[in-house]
Amino acid sequence: MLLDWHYSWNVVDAAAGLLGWLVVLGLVIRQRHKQETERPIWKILLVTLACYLSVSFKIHLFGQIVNVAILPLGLWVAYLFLRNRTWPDYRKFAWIGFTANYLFLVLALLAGFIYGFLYDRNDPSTYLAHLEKAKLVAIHPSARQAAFEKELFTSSLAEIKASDMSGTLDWYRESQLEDGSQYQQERFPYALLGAESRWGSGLHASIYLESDGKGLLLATKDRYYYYRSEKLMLRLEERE
Amino acid sequence: MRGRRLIIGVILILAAAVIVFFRTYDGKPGPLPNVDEIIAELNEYDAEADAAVVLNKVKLTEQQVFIPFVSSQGIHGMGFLKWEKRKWSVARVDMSGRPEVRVTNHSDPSGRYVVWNNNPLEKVKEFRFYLIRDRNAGMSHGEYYYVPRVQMEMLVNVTEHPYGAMPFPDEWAAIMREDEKLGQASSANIMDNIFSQSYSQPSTIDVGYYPVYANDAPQPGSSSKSGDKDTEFVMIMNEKDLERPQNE
Repeated sequence: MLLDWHYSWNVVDAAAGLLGWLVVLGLVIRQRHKQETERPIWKILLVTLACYLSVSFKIHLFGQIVNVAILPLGLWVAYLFLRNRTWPDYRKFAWIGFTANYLFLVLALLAGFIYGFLYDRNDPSTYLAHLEKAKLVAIHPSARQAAFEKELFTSSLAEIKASDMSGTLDWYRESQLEDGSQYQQERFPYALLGAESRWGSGLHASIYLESDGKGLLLATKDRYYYYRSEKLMLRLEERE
Repeated sequence: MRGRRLIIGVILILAAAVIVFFRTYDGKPGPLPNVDEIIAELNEYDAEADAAVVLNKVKLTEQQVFIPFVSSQGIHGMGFLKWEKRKWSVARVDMSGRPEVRVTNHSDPSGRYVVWNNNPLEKVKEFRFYLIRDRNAGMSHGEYYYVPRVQMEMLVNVTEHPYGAMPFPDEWAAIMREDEKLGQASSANIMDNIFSQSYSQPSTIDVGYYPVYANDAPQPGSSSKSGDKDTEFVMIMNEKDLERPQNE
């Protein structure tokens, strides 16, 4: 989990994670005050953290993938280490640690709902929120001279419609096969680089524009999106 | 007793840390060795190099230098020096002189150079370098996908530049970075991949080149290459590997 924060970082998950750990810390401190023998706080936190580790499995729940803890692995290890000597003093903290798994499960589900409410994955403007640094690049020799104009692009983006992608194999054949109508022409010969998605969304898409200047293809790590516009999205040089 | 043991332990750990530090510490790059020293080092690294003339010393980064050279037999080769562990040393010698990509920074595509040292006897007029990603389409996990073809060109006049090191154009680096962002996302966590429906980029980006020979050029000879961890091979392309759209 530590490894993948750099791409999936989104502000809702981060807030939920922070909230979760604050709650755990609060519970630990409250429990410590309740008990008669106050053990050193670092040992208590260590036991709590160790007991957070568990054998878990992933399931799809409400369109999300969540971890469900089943075996309190960390708790058993902590018990073996402490045995009878000080176990009674740490028992409660150990269970706080293990139960934290379910707290995080609930928070993750909640965060998922809030995220879906704040950010719409199907809306192209989620991926194209900041166009200040956007730059159009021709990625194929079939691209005509074209210029990216922010105002023109933004106004057409507002009226864009999700479009059918079931013909991707035909697109491929048209360009790839010698008798294809678009032989050696690329359907999406432009890439739009440097556009940024909405702050905190943690999303990223590679953005391609269609040769007629009216189509938008977004490639994200989960899936592709295709949109068509009535108006031109680019300033295209006329074909002679 | 316990205190003394602790002190000895700390001293041992510190000593080990100092030794490790000085064995791996690179330090600030010193001045480049002179031509004679470079020739001696190249020949010592690879006895077949037989370097006689150093054509140039091309700095790729502060720590990495490209040395196009000619052997006493007239073979055009490439040497690469690297500042490591407080000295300049040879990282690799290539005796083909054929184009390849030198990676100076593995985490950033813009730290890449196309390098070559062409033998004028081969009569190459021009190298056309290409950034290529194949078109791809289909369905994965119930979703349609379409990967546009990338074919970007960079021309080098070999008559004027018989050897050289060209940094990747910004646009190439940007396209590669885009590709990495999508690729990374699905390979960062293998366990996640087994369970989730993450989608992996089905096409890879390659660099290729197409040599344009003069009319009186001899039959090009074959050559083989072996690289180190900083080498990326550049494939030789045919006319039919390239798309030449007809203007309507």
